[in-house]
Amino acid sequence: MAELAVEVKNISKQFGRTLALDQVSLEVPAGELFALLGPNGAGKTTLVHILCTIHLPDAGQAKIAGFDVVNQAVMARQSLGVVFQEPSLDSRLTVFENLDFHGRIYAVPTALRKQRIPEVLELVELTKWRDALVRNLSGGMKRRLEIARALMHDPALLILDEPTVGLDAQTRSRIWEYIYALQKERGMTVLVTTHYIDEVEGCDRVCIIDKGKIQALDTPEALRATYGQEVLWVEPKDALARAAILGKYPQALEHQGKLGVRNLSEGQVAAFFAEFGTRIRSSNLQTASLEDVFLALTGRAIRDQAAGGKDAMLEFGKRGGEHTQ
Amino acid sequence: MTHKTTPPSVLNQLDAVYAIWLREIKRAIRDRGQLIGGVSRPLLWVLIMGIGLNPYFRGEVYGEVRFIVPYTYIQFLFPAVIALNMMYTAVQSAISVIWDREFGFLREVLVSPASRAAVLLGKVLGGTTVALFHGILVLLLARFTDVALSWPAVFKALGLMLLLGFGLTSLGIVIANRVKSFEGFGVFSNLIILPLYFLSSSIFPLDPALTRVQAVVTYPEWLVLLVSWNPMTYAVDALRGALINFYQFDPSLGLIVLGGMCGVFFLWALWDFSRQ
Amino acid sequence: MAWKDLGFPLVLALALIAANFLPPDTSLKHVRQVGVLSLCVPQNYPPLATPQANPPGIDIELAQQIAQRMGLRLNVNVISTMGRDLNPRNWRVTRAQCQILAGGVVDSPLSRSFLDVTPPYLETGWTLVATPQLASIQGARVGVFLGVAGLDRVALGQFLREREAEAIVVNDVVELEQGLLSRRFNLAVTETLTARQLGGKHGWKVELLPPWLGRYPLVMGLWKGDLTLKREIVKAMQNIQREGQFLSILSRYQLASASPECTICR
Repeated sequence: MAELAVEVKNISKQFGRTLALDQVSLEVPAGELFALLGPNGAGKTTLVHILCTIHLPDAGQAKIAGFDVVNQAVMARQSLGVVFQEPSLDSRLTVFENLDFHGRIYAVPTALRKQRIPEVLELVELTKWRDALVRNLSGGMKRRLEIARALMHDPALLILDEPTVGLDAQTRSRIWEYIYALQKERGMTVLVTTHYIDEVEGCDRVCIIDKGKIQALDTPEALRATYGQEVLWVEPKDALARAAILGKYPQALEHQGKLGVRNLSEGQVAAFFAEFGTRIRSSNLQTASLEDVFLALTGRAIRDQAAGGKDAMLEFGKRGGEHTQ
Repeated sequence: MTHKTTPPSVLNQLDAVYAIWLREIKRAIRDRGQLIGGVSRPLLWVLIMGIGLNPYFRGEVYGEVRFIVPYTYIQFLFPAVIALNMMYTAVQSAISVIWDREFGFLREVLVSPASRAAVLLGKVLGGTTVALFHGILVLLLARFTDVALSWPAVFKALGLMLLLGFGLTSLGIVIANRVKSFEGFGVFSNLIILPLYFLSSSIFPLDPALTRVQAVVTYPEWLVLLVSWNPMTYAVDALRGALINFYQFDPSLGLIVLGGMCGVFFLWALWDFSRQ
Repeated sequence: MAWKDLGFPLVLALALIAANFLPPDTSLKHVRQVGVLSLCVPQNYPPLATPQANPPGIDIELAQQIAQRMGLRLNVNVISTMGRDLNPRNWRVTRAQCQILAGGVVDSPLSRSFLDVTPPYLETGWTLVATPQLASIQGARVGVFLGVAGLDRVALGQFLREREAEAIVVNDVVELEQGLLSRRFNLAVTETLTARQLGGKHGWKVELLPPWLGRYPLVMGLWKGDLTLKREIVKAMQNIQREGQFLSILSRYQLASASPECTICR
């Protein structure tokens, strides 16, 4: 499709001394399901905030449905439906009142508002809860309501910032069903940020972002083909064996006491077993996944890093900073 | 698809103002804590404090009375309690701005096509309406205090209360924009509301030129100075003028100060809001 | 908005309204216990209070009716210091002597600084009495009876000078009456009620001088804070006015018709 829903050119943004975004450029054609994948602090939310006109970029240009986010902010906002990472519902209003409020501030005519509220409620299966106060809803229901709300003004682009954070597995998959349905049935352009790798497999294209820079941008298949790797994970029997393996393969990855040797050919695998076969407790060969792609691009596993904000930091501290590079 | 491709019209902006106003009203009505406060304050101040001090301000008790004034103490106190109740509501709106900011709802509003001015106006008008309602709650005690409410007096008072509510809510938002984190209601109450209230000539008259008896009563200069600098002094004075026809200052002064408060604080809040 | 949201605020508002019906003081209770309503009046302040038993004066008759309606006995205390001026603080009256002050109490900030007052039922101020033929006050000879009321004498002096009228001060009402009858002066100026009585007696025209000379609503004074008593008294007073008894008191003093604004003052 020729029409671009999102157009980002050389965007940079600095907070104090931290460079949150460094010369980021990307394009999302209309109708695409686009994923921004990266650990916390990678710059995803900063990019989303610039697209939502909450922050101004220090340099570069961004457009939503052709409207510049700086010079045509009002039109850009109007073309945009956003579900923020933190809930932004009014918990003292009912489900209906939240939707009605949104419709009014987005200048949706009364007749259209009356027609759309039941529609979007139906879509996220909250019709029954129409007159319930939002404070009485569960976390998953609130998230669904936020998605419904973002659809009230029929935006050209729907942005979901970490829509599944803090939800249980079942609710997460349900949220993704809605997202797929929106894209396929309504032909809506959807931009999702996430740090769950398994979630982006179903997306049209994935942009891996880390430390404010785009590391890779392609379809999941292409990413796997380009950056995917096989890793031979082994568990050394003792410290001596561990030291010997690390001596031979200094590039080996370390994860939970296991060592991962990357990209060995069949012959090299045989040679490895010949040399260390008696000194390892277990081994397994991991085939290429997006996880590996991420690992290959950033040199670390995303999950360990990205359990979410403070929790991840705490976990990291408990483990004694084992995964420092 | 039917994406909207025109910017919001003035009518759309008014709809946004209405939506934000309506939300404020709904929240206020559902906030039982705020409602209970709005009723208990007039009861405490007018019924308990007013009745308690009323005999000490009687004219005929020679030797004890310092102030001989053309009203009973409870009548004198009554208009000030209206201002007090409205100050509490305005601070409540200010706190709701902080909550909206901390809990994300403000973001929902700020990424909408509604203009900043519309958002602020809706917020301030909502706060004004709630403050007016809480002021009217105090007016319900008029019979008890023997303040005769004629229709002109009521309309005059409501007009002044409208201005006061608008000015105070705007001030509350200016303050909220400068508060980094919510430290609890007590801080606001002790740091802003009560000082402004006590220094507004609300519970004791502070005009040495008022009567002969008062002329001989001298307050320390610093207290007089603080009271004369406090804009609430003139707001309370204007309300007193409307309700018990007693002015300590030039009657037009109250109107000027109230109008000034509305203009200055609203524009200040707007300036703050536009930069967010 | 759901209607049930309005229930709680409504209940609170009703509670607040209900609080209005708590008695704010004990004044009515005290009076009822004793069974006597005490009234303080000046010795001689006609036609509001007079030393005679019949007629005793408008205020005393009004107070009698009020006491009767409240089921109380009226006790009249004559205070010699009352009525010398309009400042009740100079009257040296205390709560121990009476509940009501009457006979020349006017509703002014000065009175209110000392007393609480009932709604006004009469008005006083400078008023002229003249024969119907008189066309203008300009250059006239004016008989002035200052009386006991503390009306603004300076303002009256200025008013008469501006119209080049000659003021002749007399010492009592009789002299004023005689002066008019004998054409010693063309018109007379005195306090409203006296003027009305005089005019009513002879069919002369009685007109109020302009408002800037001062108009004073006549009221009954009550002690501040006696709100429960005040409510009962005001209620009785309003009933007396509504049912025409007040008018019949006034007609006994030739005061039944109100005076118009001055037409010959220019």
